[in-house]
Amino acid sequence: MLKKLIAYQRLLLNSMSPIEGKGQNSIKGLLNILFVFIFVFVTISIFMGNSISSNEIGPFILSVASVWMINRILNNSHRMFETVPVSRKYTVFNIFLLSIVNVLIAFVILWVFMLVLIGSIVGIGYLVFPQGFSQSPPDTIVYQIVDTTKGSILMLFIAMIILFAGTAITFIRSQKLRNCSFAGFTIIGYGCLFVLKGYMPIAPNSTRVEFLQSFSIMPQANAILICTAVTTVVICIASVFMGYKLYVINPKGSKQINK
Amino acid sequence: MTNNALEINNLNASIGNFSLQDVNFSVAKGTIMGLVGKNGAGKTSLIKTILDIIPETAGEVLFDGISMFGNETIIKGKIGVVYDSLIYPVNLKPVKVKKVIAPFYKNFDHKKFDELMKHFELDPNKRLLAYSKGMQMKFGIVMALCHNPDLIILDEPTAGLDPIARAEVVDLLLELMQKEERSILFSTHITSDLEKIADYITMIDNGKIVFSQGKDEMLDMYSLAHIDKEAMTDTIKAELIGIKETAFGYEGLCATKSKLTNVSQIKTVRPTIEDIMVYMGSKR
Repeated sequence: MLKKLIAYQRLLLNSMSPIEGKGQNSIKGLLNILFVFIFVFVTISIFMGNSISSNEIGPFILSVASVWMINRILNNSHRMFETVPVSRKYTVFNIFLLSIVNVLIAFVILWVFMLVLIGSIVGIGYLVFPQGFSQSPPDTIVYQIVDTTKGSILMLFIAMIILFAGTAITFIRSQKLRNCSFAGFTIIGYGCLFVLKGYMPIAPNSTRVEFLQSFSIMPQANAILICTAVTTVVICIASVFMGYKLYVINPKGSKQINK
Repeated sequence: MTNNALEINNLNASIGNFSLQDVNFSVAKGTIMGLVGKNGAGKTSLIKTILDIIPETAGEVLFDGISMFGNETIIKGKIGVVYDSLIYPVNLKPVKVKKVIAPFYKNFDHKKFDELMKHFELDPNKRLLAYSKGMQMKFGIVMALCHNPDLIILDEPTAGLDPIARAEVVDLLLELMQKEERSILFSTHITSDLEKIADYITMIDNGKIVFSQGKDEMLDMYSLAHIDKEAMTDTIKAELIGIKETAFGYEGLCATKSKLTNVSQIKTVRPTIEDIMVYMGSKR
């Protein structure tokens, strides 16, 4: 069972077609670059205060990248994962699972990469200037971790909503309808984040609104978190149901044979 | 229990401006069906609709009497498909592709994989990117055969191959049919491949089935008529299915039963599948 699950996850990961630069028409290519530019600009304008940390932007970017990857796998002209004998239910379940697996893999890779990079820099720095390093960690780091917990939980919920709702949209077969749904979802999502940012207070150790810190000191933070948690659960369940309905249920109602 | 490995009833599908209209034909067990038609006639669209890659708007497709939708686990284990281009990621090596695909088939034959790779002189440790188009197509055939499917669906498998490789593929299919009873649906516009192996021919044009019948029955049914220039009359023209002017007179397809076969200034010969395809296509 677990072996088959891992094998199917590997198959899905290998089903993504490579990005073709040659065959793409220039207008479509320019539009894609424009969308990426708008996405980066809007995302930075939401999460950027005086600084931007990987805690703020990491889950958001990784979730969007995961949905983009699943869209490429599902709406590819050659779907290798569909050639093997597994049920449609199993495919839907695995695609939702893959959206989370993608983020976890990317997160671990990034984390290890950052750890190695920072470790190397600190290590080299310590070897060159050992007197410049104090023996205990600075208090500010501990303070910041405690301070942004609520914000981090909010980011986790946002990431879950992006992953589940985004994955459900990738199951829409009509390209026009799918693109419109993605556009609608993006506008609503960014709209909510902008409104939320508008109500956030200025961070205590900054002159501007810092997304995670400012959210964590908001008086309504707990209420917003509870509402977001409920919304996340509802959206996740509805997304799985929508994916199931779009991919598994035959509109013509063929009978399933149990052999 | 049915005698048909594949049965298509009143199948309709839309792909942009193109549509498949009321497609009906079946592939009997233990036979080879050739699906012919010019480029853009709808062969690949039909195969993709059969395989549920393109959604059907009406009609049904039955594999051994069972519909694909909802029964993928049973059906996909029994069919092998060779697409018109490689579906496997080109950055992978064939051994890796096998490793990824094999766990899903109960009866994946690793020995057969090695034998076929050797037979087609394919290096399993070379990335698919480094394979030529012909080699990629051969690899697609290897992968489609390794789980010993009952029905093999091939979408223009010989299109990118040189004559030697084409002959190898056709021989391999013949060998399969002789050793083990299988059914094959073989789409191509290279009709000479079908002359050798097909039992039945289905012709598709503009999304509609022109005919679907036994190859020998079809070749017996029609004759290719060579008519002297001075002998041509309106009555003869009316008897012909498609007509072409040549340096020596006219050439056209006619029914073997027609009166033309007994006219002295008209020579009739047995047509090839290509002749029938060309004249049937021009008639429309």
